[in-house]
Amino acid sequence: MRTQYSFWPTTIVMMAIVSMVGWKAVEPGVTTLPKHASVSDDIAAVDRIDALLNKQWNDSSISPAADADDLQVLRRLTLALVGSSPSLAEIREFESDISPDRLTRWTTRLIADSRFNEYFAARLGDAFIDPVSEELKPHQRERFRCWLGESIQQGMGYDEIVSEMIAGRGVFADHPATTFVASELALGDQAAERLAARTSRAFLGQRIDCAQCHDHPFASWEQSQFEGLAAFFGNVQFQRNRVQDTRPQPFVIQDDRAELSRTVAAELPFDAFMVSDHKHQRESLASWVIHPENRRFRRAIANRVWGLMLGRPFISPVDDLPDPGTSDDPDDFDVLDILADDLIDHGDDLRRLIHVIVKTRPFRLASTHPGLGEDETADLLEASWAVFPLTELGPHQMIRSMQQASSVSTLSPEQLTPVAAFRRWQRQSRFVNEYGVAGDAEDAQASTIPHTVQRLSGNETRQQSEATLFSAVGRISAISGTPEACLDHCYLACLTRHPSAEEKAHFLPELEGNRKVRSRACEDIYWTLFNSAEFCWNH
Amino acid sequence: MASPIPLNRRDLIHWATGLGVSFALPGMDLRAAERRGGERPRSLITLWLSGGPSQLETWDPHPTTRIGGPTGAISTSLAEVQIASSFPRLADQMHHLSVIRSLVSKEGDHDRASYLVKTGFRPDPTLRHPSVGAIVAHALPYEPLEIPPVISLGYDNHLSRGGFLGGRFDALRVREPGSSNEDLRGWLAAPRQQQRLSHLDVVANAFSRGRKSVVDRTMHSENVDAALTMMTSDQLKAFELSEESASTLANYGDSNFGRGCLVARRLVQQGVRAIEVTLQNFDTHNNNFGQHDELAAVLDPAFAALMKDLHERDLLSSTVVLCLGEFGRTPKINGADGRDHWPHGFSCLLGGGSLRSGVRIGATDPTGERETPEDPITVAELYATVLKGLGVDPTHEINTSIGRPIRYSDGTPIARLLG
Repeated sequence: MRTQYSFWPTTIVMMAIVSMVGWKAVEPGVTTLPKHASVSDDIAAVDRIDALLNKQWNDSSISPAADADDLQVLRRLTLALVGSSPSLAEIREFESDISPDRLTRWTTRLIADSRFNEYFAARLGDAFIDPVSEELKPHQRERFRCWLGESIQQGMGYDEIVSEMIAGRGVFADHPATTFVASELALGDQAAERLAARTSRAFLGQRIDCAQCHDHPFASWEQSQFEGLAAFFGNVQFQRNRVQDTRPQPFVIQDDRAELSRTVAAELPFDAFMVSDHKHQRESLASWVIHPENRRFRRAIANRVWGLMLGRPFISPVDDLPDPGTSDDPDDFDVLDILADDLIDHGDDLRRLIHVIVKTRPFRLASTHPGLGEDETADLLEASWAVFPLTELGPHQMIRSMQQASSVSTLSPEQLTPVAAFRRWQRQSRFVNEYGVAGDAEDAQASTIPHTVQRLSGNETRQQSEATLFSAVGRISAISGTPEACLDHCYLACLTRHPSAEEKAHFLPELEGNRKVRSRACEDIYWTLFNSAEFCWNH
Repeated sequence: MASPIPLNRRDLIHWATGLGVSFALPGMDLRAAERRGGERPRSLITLWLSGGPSQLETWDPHPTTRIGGPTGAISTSLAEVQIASSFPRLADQMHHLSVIRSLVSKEGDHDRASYLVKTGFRPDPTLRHPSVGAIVAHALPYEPLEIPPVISLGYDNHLSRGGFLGGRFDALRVREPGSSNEDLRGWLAAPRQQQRLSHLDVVANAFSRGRKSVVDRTMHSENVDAALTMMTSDQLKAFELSEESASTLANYGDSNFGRGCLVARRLVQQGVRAIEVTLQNFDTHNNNFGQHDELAAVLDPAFAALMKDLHERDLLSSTVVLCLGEFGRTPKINGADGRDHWPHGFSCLLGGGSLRSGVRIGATDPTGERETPEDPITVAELYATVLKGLGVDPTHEINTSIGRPIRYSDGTPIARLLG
């Protein structure tokens, strides 16, 4: 195995310096968490959700899983909000904080983190902008993601965010929200139809695409409703990077099968009373979509964010929700209604939504349960949210976690030099491209043989598990005082937990010996942990 | 699913290393190539011309017309069919093939058109369709295979995926076929690899505790087993070219694409269901003619050698070969001496399997005035035909996860091409 210790007199001096500086981050230190988070106070919604789920568990004689330990919850939280497992430095800092509401304050801190903007905003954005379209240049996609992330971080209401996307005008550099409309217009033919479909799926959680050619097979969507919705986008143009509305003109649908065309008027599919009159059709549509009485709108985002936080939306598929109930009595509300209600009361602030979800029982439950030994009970437990669901990491989470585990300190964009940041981005893109992007289509990618080969012997695994002067593997093996500490650091960096007694008994003898032996054993442990189901799945 | 043979990963590797040959494992019959045409597992080779090849500079030249540019035409072994003069070697193999000159689609964007021409379906935001290769692999499972049933060779921008059939039908991508298999083989010496695998079991046990049935469903350890089976499989030799003679290598041409075509033939011999070999850079908005000449110099020897080789080895009757790109290029030559995207009448070559050779379908307007070609053929019709040619029923329905049954293909097979 190639190591970098051959030029060792200079190397040792450098290692000592680098290690002394860097190791500070690994040892428990003073915490600098914000004292409290305003969007996280008043947790009535959490109590309502927990009470509702408790009742459902009681009614079905289900006993939910025990509570997960805080480190486990920290891993979920970090994976969901910044797209990687926590760094060794973060874990040490978290462990040193003994206040009871540390997870809440940690949530606030991660939402404000620049990595939230890199990861969470990008995943949410995938619902609004086709994640694989090559029509969109990388800088346009980045600009849109930054706008979305910063808007959330600054507390802009989700209603306003969506309104800007549907009805925004101008050049994308100044108005990144217009990317929503521009990305479809740039593809040419049938842009209005695609925008109608995307509006409905992304913002209302309703698939009406099949109504483009025929009536929806099981919901009450008819072809005429789809076409009426599409007509709202009939007067929008994309020219010289600018999204603008033309003067009203008839919207014409080409019917390929009947080989004729017909003119269609803009018409809302239901609840048209909610629309207020605006100069431009898109503004009218936006006002209807975000209207407080349009229950689909907030239920859809609550379901989507639940999915990003727990790995699985509350109702699947994420963009084909059943019609909301008609009762206004809070006693009849389901979990999505409660979350939606809370959003309205808090200015549609998505930070608030994240906080509420993080505090609910399902997010805090263990992913182990005596009932998970058998398939039938496992299905019931998972379907009723009585255990935390096991879901596979997305490609971004996978590569970001590998990169994070191979560095002792936290890999925040602002802590990297531009060159290092670019290289990191490049390697992430290459990995994601190889591994595959699931997109928002119904094709949750199960782990496959090519994926496994990529993990077992791909470049990233090889590089990230190599003991070098600057890698976590190299540093952990060189600096940890005892084999126990060394093993503990490897486990924390990769799996966010301490090794079990059985694992200690297996690994500690491997770590006995001189530095070369230990660094080689550390490489083996890192490789093993990277390839474990525990690393590759959220739990 | 649990293997009926109680072998775990380490047993398997012990067996394999002990014998020196992993394919000697019980029940594994690998000499697919030794069987005669009809009994042999059937395969699809797609030569993917990425970027949109010009029909006028390949299989549908219109020399001496206003739209034809400087491209000449040559006669071929197929009476009445001429192809561009930059394909002299393929011209001698044309009797194994049929030509369609009237493919039509509505997709003029690279992404959307590639999706359509790789799956047979237009993009649908609610569903990801499997590639045609994945469909073939799904329809024709082949147990003895230790390597993935769908393989992509070369630098493709749109990896063929399993879509709603599942990730196990995603293509395994090998960018530089014929070069070292380092990534596939693993990079560690066997003893150290063994050690790591024993570590893996310890960590897996810890994770399984209290969640066994859900962890089993992840198929994680089965995938690791399958990946290791592949990484230690003798079938990986299909990716290597050291056994091929210098003259064979020379016939295919000294190019990544040429080596890809040769590896494709070797993979067919192993029973791989679908192999896609990609040749890039057909997006000739500038310098269309110069670029097509260069690409033809790579495509011609490789394609011709592949057809000849498959025929001589009696593999052609079990292998469908299809050569096409996502669309064609405009009859009009633009100001930069290039041609732009044109999904209204583009060409493909196909043959092998039980498809009839020597058929010519469709014609484009030599003046370039009329957009719609004679006898238009849709991509769905093409793939229904290809599936038929492989003995797969295109009307077979699969229940997708959204509760919508979908056929392997929406098209009607082209009767003239079926033998």
